Amino acid sequence: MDGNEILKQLNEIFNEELDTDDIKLNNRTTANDVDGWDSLSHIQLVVAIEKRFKIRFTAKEIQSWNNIGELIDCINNKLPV
Amino acid sequence: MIFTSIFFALFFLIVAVFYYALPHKFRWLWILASGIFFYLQSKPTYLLIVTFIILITWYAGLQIGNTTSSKKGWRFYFLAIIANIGILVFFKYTNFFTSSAVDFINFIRQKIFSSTETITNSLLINVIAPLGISYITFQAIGYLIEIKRGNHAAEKNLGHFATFLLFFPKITAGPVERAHNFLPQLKKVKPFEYNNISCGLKQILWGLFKKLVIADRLFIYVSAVLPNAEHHSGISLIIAVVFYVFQMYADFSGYSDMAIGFAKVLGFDVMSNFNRPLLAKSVTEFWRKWHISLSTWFADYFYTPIAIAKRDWGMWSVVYASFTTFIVLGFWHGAYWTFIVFGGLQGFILTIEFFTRKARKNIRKKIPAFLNGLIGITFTFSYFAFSLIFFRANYLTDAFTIIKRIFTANGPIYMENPSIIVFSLLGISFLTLVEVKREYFNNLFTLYDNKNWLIRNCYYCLLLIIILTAGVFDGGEFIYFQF
Repeated sequence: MDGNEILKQLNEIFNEELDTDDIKLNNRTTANDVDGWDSLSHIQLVVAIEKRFKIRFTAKEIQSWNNIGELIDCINNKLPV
Repeated sequence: MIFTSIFFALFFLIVAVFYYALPHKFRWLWILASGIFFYLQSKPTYLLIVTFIILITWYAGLQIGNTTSSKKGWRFYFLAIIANIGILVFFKYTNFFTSSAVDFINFIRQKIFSSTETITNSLLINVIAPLGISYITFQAIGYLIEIKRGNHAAEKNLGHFATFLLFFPKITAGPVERAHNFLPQLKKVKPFEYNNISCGLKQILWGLFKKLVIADRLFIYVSAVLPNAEHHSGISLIIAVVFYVFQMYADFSGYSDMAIGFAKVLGFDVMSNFNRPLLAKSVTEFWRKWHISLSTWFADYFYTPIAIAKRDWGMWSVVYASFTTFIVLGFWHGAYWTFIVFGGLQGFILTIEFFTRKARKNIRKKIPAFLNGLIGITFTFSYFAFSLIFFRANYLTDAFTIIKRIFTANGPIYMENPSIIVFSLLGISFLTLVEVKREYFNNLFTLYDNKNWLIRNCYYCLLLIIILTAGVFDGGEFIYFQF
């Protein structure tokens, strides 16, 4: 799966979980840019991402992403080649 | 040494003048020396405890950062964390734990063994906690966690590390600064910049205004009514509770403005603590704007690890993590059930808001934005005011008395000296006006940063004149010093 496909799926997850349809993520998007993405919904998003991609993040990874680009890299590293 | 005293003003003037006169390589030493001097004004022997915290945290940080063996790293990490928490618990909670244990033993003896004898708590300690101990240990713990997580390197220079924990503007009541924000600033050469001095002094002036003109004026009414609830009518109690919200905000944000301002004069940007919380439209948003340095500390080092560890529970992980975090946050204020209820009330409403956020969003779409905001702000303010009844009361029964009388006690408004109410309302109105202006009309006009030199300075003079003429100079310490 390439980065664009992951981004597309993330976009779907974010809109579903945060119950909106106006989120448009890009690699540089941070939590500050997305209305409703806070420490409460972050965990919910992480769980949804793990389910969709059938992966498991470590606690350290979950706390390390600074933007969507870093999240995509992390997902990519976990997906089977 | 309180920020609003003449002694502190003189102390700060001397510190700032010599700070800029000294070459860069000696400045940290001067800041450290002034921090030590500041600390010695409280209780000199307690400096030994802070020195112990500094040494153990600094050494453990180095060991965690250097060691290749994760087992050894963990050992140092745990030892240092336990030492920090141990000191905090000893000074803040020994009496709570021993008294609770003795009460429990007496209860069992009475109920099970029908004994009429009771034992007394002979382990009660009568000590005042070292100045700023909560804030110092929290900053030390945050520093250790960041190194353990591999996010930041350990500080090699013991002197610089000591300066971080003993930086005098934030010793007494925060902000709970992060080492990785502060230490690089300490190392950077800072030329004398007019802008830093001007921004810092302006923030100090506004902080002084909030403390002396608003908070300490409101304190007069609040302290006359709330501790004597049984003698006051419901309407007086409502006024006192509303006043208390503003008192708390003006007091604590006033302190924070001064702390941040003093740091700014010396060229340091420390974390902000408040972002107009009384205009938050939900309690969730409120906690992102109130005591930010502590709430983000709890979010980063307490809430998030719990929520991550329990994330397989789904939504309940958020409930569990929110409740645990806020109960601990309440308990942090002191070992009283009133603080635990205060924390529990925050955890409760955050959970409700989390579960109803989609429904609330749908409702919001049908209501005009202005009305939406007004409803949100009113609800958040009222809920926070209600929870502060527990925060302010000495015992749960006192809080229940206040709540009961608010609904049942008829009678006139307590007004021994009407000027106190008038000045209080003027202070609240002015504060609200400034906050609303900064939140919604920030680009419209400005007195504080007006381009016209005369208008700007007239405004500063006006604030200063109001402070000198209407300020309350015997109002005492800041509320958050005790925590």
